[in-house]
Amino acid sequence: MIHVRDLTVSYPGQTVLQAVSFDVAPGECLVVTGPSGCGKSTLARVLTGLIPQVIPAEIQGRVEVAGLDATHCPTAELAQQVGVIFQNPRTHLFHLRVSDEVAFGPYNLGLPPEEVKARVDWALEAVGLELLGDQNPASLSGGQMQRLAIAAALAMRPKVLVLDEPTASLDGSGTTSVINALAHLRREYGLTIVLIEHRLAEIRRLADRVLVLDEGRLVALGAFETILGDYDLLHRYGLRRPTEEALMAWPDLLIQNGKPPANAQPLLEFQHLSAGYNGQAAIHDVNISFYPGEFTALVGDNGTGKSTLALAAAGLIRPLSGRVLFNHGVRPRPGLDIALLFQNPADQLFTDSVDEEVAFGPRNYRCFDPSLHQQTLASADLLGLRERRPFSLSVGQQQRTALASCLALRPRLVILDEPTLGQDWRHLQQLMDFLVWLNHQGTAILLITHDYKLVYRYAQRVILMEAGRISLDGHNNLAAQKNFLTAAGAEVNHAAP
Amino acid sequence: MTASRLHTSLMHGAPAKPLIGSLGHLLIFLWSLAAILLTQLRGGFLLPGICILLLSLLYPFALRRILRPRWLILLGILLVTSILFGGGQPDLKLWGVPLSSEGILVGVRMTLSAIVILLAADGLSTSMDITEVAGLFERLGLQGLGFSLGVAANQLPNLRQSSTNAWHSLRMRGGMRAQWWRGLQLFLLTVLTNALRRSEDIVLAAEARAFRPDRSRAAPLRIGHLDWWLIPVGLVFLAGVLVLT
Repeated sequence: MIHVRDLTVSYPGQTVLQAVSFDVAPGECLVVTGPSGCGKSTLARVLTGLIPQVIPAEIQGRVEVAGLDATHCPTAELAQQVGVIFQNPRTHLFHLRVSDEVAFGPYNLGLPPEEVKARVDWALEAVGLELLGDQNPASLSGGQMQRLAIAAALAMRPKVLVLDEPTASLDGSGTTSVINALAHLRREYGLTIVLIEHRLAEIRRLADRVLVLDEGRLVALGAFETILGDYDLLHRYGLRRPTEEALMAWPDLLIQNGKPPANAQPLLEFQHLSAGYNGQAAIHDVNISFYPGEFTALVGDNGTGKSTLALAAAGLIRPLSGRVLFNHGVRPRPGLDIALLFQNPADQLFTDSVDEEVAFGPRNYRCFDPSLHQQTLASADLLGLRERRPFSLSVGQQQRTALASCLALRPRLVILDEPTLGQDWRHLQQLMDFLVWLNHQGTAILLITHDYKLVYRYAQRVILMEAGRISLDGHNNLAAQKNFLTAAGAEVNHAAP
Repeated sequence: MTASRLHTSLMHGAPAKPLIGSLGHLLIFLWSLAAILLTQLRGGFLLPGICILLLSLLYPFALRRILRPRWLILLGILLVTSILFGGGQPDLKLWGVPLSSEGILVGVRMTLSAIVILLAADGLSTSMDITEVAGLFERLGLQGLGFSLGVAANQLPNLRQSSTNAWHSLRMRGGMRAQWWRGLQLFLLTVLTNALRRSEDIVLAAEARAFRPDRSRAAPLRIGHLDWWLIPVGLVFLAGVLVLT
């Protein structure tokens, strides 16, 4: 179905893919993985004809998809053979009704309304969204949105689906719903799937073969279990060993505790806190305290109020009722007392250089100290990048820059909202090691995540949120987790401080 | 099952037909505009009064919205200014202010007309999907404009979110303090670049689904059971009012 021969892709001054060759058989599911910036997304865009036809780039080699030359065939023609689903569906859905979103492609093909209607009904049913046709896509959950994106691609009736990290921003149930939909499509309609993923556990039952890229080169290609059993290879390219983490329920892996550390005064205290947006509470009557020097994980599904809690903690939204008290009495000052690292670091960066980004806060608060500034840049390994534009950096570098801009004000508590988005395991470990170092320097850390492994390795305390409320305040059940991870063949060295 | 089933297995479901469809709402809006025009030409309060009554029954949410203080204040301002500057010779005094009966009549008529337009416009915009409005533009030969309109409408909540993110980011670093001017510049620039980046994402997604600006994509209008009846009913209603006034 797909034949790629000696594919080399270059942007001005940068070669992204080098001499990549592989084939994909009809009905096969090929997983493409590798460290951040290795060329995975570029490969997806080449297979769908977006490179070079919409995004200019220099291409050498041959790319044939469903019998069409993907490098020369018009995008509109190729779109009928190969559908693409991007990482964040929120940024690629642009209609006000689910059915209109799905109908967009067929209308572009100039099909009559009856045919469009039939395709829309079929595609929505194929992904299990047939009852949501009149809803606004913005009102859907993350998993439903991603399934809608799949339906929108399916309505073009392609033979190949290319998915670029479709589960990156989803929680366990959202991920499961997307993977189930893909498995159903493959089983029922024999679709060929090219799946770009960092998270290999979730796609274990879907994948036939794995292709590993590193710095634009194909470094391994083989059966899923063979490649994932090669621990040296995984270690070399910073890939995660698969566990069954997506299938685990948090309450089974945690132990209720909720006792404050002896003689400790809370750094941050929520008293009967309710907070939300437009007068609607997303979190309700939250009572909890955070103590100096803690490394805490806040876990729970999408939409349970974790990010709202973080915004309220950082003083960025006003409580609807109740109080947020810092150091036993005052409202926290955003940035100065409590810093928040956003889910997408690009949302947090707004200056022309890394240097200005990190210096902006201290200068604004009139507390800029050149030696402290130098120290912050050095600790985040940004000295060599200080003149670079933040948006020209890799995701990992952007995240370090955003974190350094938070740390420049020396906050007592740093909150990280889903730092795993789009990060490979190696970059994530580097970030986490940096956080452990910070924690050892006395900074309290609150990590918001779905990532079971991060919680296991790093968190001393774990708080579970369900439906806008704290449902459990405790710690890892290490014995249960170790048994579980060992059984799943994952590494179990506990690196938490 | 093979890929060929993908090309043949299509479900055919019966579309649910509303009582009043998009065409009907559009017609109601046009009839309301025609009624306002007639009111300005023929005078009288009967026509706008009946229009307000019918529109309120049809679009109660629009009536509720118009009863909010901000709209009442705006309508009050319109009424007062129309009365004061509506023309005519002053022939009566209210709290010592000389007013003309003609000015009062003009003011009340203007305000009633404004209420009719607000109710009809709110009813239309709430009942008709932006995609259908876009489809109308496409039908009128303005190819690509409909798509742009839909994207623009869809962009607003995203722009609001990205602006909120940028503002939070600025607040995390002190907000408008010593570097307030630089902060303001960077904030506005960030909102603009986020909008451009989002537009790029949409273009990419649209291209991947075979979008071409030069090809018309006129989405069909939803037709309700009563839509076609609204044409003769509207004509008879306006003719009746013309005869009676």
